Amino acid sequence: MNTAETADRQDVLLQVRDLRTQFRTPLGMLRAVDGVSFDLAAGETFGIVGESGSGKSVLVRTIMNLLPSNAHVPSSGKVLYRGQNVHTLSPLDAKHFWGPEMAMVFQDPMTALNPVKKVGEHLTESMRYHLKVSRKVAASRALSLMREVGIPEPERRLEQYPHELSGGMRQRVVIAMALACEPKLLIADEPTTALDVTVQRQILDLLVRLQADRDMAMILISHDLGVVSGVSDRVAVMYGGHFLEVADTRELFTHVHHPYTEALLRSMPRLELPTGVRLSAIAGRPPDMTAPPPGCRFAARCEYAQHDCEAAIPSLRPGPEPTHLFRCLFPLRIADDGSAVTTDPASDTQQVTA
Amino acid sequence: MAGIGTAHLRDADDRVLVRVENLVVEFPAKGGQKVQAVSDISFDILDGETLGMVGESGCGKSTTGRAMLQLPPPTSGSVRLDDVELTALSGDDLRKIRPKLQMIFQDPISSLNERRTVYDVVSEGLKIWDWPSADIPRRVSELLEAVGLDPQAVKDRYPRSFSGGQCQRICIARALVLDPKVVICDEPVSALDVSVQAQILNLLRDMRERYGVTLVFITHDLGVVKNISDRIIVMYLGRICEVATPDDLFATPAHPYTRLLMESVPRIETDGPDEERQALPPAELPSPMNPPSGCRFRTRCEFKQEICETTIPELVEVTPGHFTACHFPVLDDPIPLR
Ligand SMILES: Nc1ncnc2c1ncn2[C@@H]1O[C@H](COP(=O)(O)OP(=O)(O)O)[C@@H](O)[C@H]1O
Ligand SMILES: Nc1ncnc2c1ncn2[C@@H]1O[C@H](COP(=O)(O)OP(=O)(O)O)[C@@H](O)[C@H]1O
Ligand SMILES: [Mg+2]
Ligand SMILES: [Mg+2]
Repeated sequence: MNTAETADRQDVLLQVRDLRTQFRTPLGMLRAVDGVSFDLAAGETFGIVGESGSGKSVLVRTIMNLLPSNAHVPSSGKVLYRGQNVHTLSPLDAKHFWGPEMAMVFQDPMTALNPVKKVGEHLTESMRYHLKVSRKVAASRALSLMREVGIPEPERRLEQYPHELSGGMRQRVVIAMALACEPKLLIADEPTTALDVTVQRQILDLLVRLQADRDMAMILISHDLGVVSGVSDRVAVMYGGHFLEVADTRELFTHVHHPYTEALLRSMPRLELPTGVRLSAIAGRPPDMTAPPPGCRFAARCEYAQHDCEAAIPSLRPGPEPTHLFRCLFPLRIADDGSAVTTDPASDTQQVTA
Repeated sequence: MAGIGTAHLRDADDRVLVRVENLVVEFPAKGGQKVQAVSDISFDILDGETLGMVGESGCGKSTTGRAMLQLPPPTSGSVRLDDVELTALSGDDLRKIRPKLQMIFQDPISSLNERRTVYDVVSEGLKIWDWPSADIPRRVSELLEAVGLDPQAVKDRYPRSFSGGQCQRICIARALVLDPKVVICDEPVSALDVSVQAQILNLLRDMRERYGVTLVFITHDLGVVKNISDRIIVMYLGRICEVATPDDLFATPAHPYTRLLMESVPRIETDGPDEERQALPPAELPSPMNPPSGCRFRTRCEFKQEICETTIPELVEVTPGHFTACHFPVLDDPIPLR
């Protein structure tokens, strides 16, 4: 089976198997997530990067079982949390699941905040519900959570309403809310995309620290390779509803095998590029997922594509490094003898993996 | 007035196309307060130059761009295009100068009228400016082709059938059709995916060469501003912190705010998460209604001294062509770009 399983990793928390999510739309069935498999170990941070529409948000919403009514998830796809199928939980069990087991942080903190409730109430409410703690205990834990997420003057802030806080402070509150019931898995979907770069840096630093302190697993989604690389142990590159490449962070960036990953890196106006260079844009646009092509989803935009690429979807297979998987018939940086070719820092590809 | 200085303005040789001096823009706010959006900034732009303007949201970039177009006219200060003082123009005179100054916005889809075809959108300016109607179709086709669209295939279509990147191409065609001198691009690639962003940056570069147009490029993205600009202004809370060429700015950033910005940009970390990283302390942006006295960045600055509170720092030249407004600039201490 084509999976990003990591069977040798102990303590698997989450297993996702051949997950597919489809939407009924006026233009036909849209295959938003189309065959995603991976394992997540306890305490691990898994980054998912991809352009808009590639299926990142729908994937994590499917994992969280938070889909709108026009969504269809074929039962062949599975999300197992400690062996338990998340999609067959009763509504009551599901309620006890979110919070103490999995929690989520979204791009716009206001979606998680009620404008007429004080910050403190947001924090104590779920603790009282899930952890059945007294008002007093909840209040003192709220205060320590506020400190943990680095909010200055936490006593005063607890008494404020969301609109009285800056965007960065709101996102800290939402993170504190997500942490309130000590989840084993935190899913963060573009948590810094709406924030300014200095605030983004603070939130990313915070997530890295919290994840390490609490030994919590994390799935971090971003459209920015820089953001995921600095936070993740392992990175998946998503395109057209599934993963095109998955590897440990260092391995991925030192031996980029998939042409799409390389093309993404080359199109970024990275600070380390010389001034005024012409960027390598990727021509064309992503596939229409109501009628995806039968072959590789990237073939139409790929400079290395051959005839065979259009016949069938390439399987997600390992290269020289067994945990480095890619979905490509003509991968980059694999020598004839099957060994990996490290990017030569002196060559032109320095721009890619320098 | 204790301004932040004009040392960085270039001698009034004939290559200076735009000169903005002591620009102030204030907006009325509740309780008789004022939003000090732009507080006494000056800069010039040479003919054909691309001026990058970078800083975080709320620092006054869009307000500056719009004030150059007199949308709305600034509270005080001067904006000169060639030898024309734009702030002194009104009514018809201002209208007549409009074609020379065009603007492109962040959200290409909503800046196009959904009921008008591509042809209508691009030809509108030509009709308003009384181009001979026989010449209009040819000019529209020329522009559409220049921005990488097939005129025959797109001219009768409506914006909603295009992607964000294609809509931005249409906006660029519309902005260039009247042969403007200056195009102010306000976050033109910020809403686009990185692969499309590269297409549009390359296109703007080509248009600059082909039509000799002068660009003001506003963005919050340091990588983008480094890539496209000839000269960069870094702004913070309505003031200029630093002015330099991209090479100088990013090799030896002198203002602590520029350095903070650079250090905040997420780079590709091939080694994965760095748990030892020194986390930045949370910092709040002061209110533009009540900005800090002296240096506006001082409330977040690690080098702050008493003088920073009492005296507004003026732009001074730290190395040739590199200016910074800081009492304690960081000299000759590069931030490694790896
Ligand atoms: N509720 C929905 N109904 C129909 N299509 C949807 C819905 N939600 C998402 N989609 C489509 O699913 C695809 C994947 O979307 P999404 O996961 O949000 O992308 P990403 O988060 O990677 O930008 C897109 O084509 C999007 O338009
Ligand atoms: N029309 C307006 N009325 C009141 N305040 C405004 C108006 N436009 C902008 N501002 C304020 O002026 C400051 C600068 O805004 P802006 O120029 O949009 O910044 P930037 O483009 O750098 O994000 C901000 O504090 C903003 O809230
Ligand atoms: Mg999304
Ligand atoms: Mg703006």
